[in-house]
Amino acid sequence: MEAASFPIRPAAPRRFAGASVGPPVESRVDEAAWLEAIATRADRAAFAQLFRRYAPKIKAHLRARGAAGAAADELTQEVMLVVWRKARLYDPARGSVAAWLYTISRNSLVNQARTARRRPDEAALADAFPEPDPPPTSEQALMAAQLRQSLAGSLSELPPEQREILEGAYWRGQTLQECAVERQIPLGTVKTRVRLALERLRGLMNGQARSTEE
Amino acid sequence: MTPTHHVPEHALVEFVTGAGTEGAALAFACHVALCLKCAAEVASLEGLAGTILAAGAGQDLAAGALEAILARLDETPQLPAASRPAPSAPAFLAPCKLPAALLSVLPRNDGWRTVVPGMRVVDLPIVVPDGAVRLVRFKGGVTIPFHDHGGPEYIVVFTGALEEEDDGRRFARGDVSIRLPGERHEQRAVPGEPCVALVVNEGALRPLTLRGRLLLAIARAQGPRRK
Repeated sequence: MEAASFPIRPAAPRRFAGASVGPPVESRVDEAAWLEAIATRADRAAFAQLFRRYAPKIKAHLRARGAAGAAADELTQEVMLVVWRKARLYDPARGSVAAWLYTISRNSLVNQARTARRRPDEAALADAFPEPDPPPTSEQALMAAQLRQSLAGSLSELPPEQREILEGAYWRGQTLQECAVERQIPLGTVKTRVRLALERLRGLMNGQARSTEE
Repeated sequence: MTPTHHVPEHALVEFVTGAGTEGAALAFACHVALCLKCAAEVASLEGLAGTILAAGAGQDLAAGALEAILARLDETPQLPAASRPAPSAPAFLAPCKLPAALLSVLPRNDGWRTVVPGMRVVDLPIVVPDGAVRLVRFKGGVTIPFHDHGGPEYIVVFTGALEEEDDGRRFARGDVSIRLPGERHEQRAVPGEPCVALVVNEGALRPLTLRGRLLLAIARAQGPRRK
């Protein structure tokens, strides 16, 4: 049942076993170049390219997280305007464009919910929170870059019960408790599956898949 | 110093997806800012989020969406690089080197008050039913008597240290302590320097000693300052 709702397309043929999913390397370069063009030259054509590739995915993601039709469209526009405004804050050393877009989408949803709850005089603070601290050292940037690669492993290699949990959490924004309730399994089992899934993705990267149910 | 008490991986997943509570997100953001290991882990989990977003099947936007947003770009100024000046801490907190996530929610006006002897707090603008989200300054040697929690508790230490009375585990700069309802404990600020920590209680504290109940009654009588 849950598998049917998963929006990720069936695994495309891979050039190498265990090669990363997601956009191939050339298109990642494109995306980073688009953002640089937006940041440095206010390049509207680059923005349109990025919009065509990602706005429909962002909309689908926001809908999966509960934004209704027109609101999902409006929120997608908001997210893309943030991309336009903050393009200079994107640092390719810290992650992929897609990862950056995910965090902006997440922050927009979260801030929307928080602003609705907050006392009006405090609403102004909401925008400041998402900015992360800069990495203190180049060592950290290096470590992050290595680990980031390690999880871009092939999701399709995961057993369905592990993949479903990641889908519930990442795509639909479920808490692990909500994942457990929906699937009628104990929270501890959900946590175990998350751990095994992440281990397996890292293992695939290292060419040593070693995930076994314990 | 590298922290020794970390955020569990499954909780970092909720941090990255934004599914966790606002209080937990603030606590984890503070820990991650001070912890190389968890920062790398978060970067890795965000990479996975990007992979999942990029692999997702899209849904068409309403007709004319691209034209509509292009028309709005002219009235949408772009931020220059490093536009946001780092928020600064009040002078007496400067030695704590608070992370940006905390500074960005720290009230600009001085809202510090003494809740019980040896413990000064400032309320942070995060609303938690029955709970509190505060930056707390414990005087060295102060104890928090044996208590239980009505909801999850997240503590991140910025300076000084807190120590568990039963097993002596010590939480120093960057360390995160996560306690769930039913996990009872007594803590003590290590004697000497004061301890400054973010304390998120997503539920009422339940003192289990007479002294604790007395202190809580005193603290409640002080009341949070409302604007």
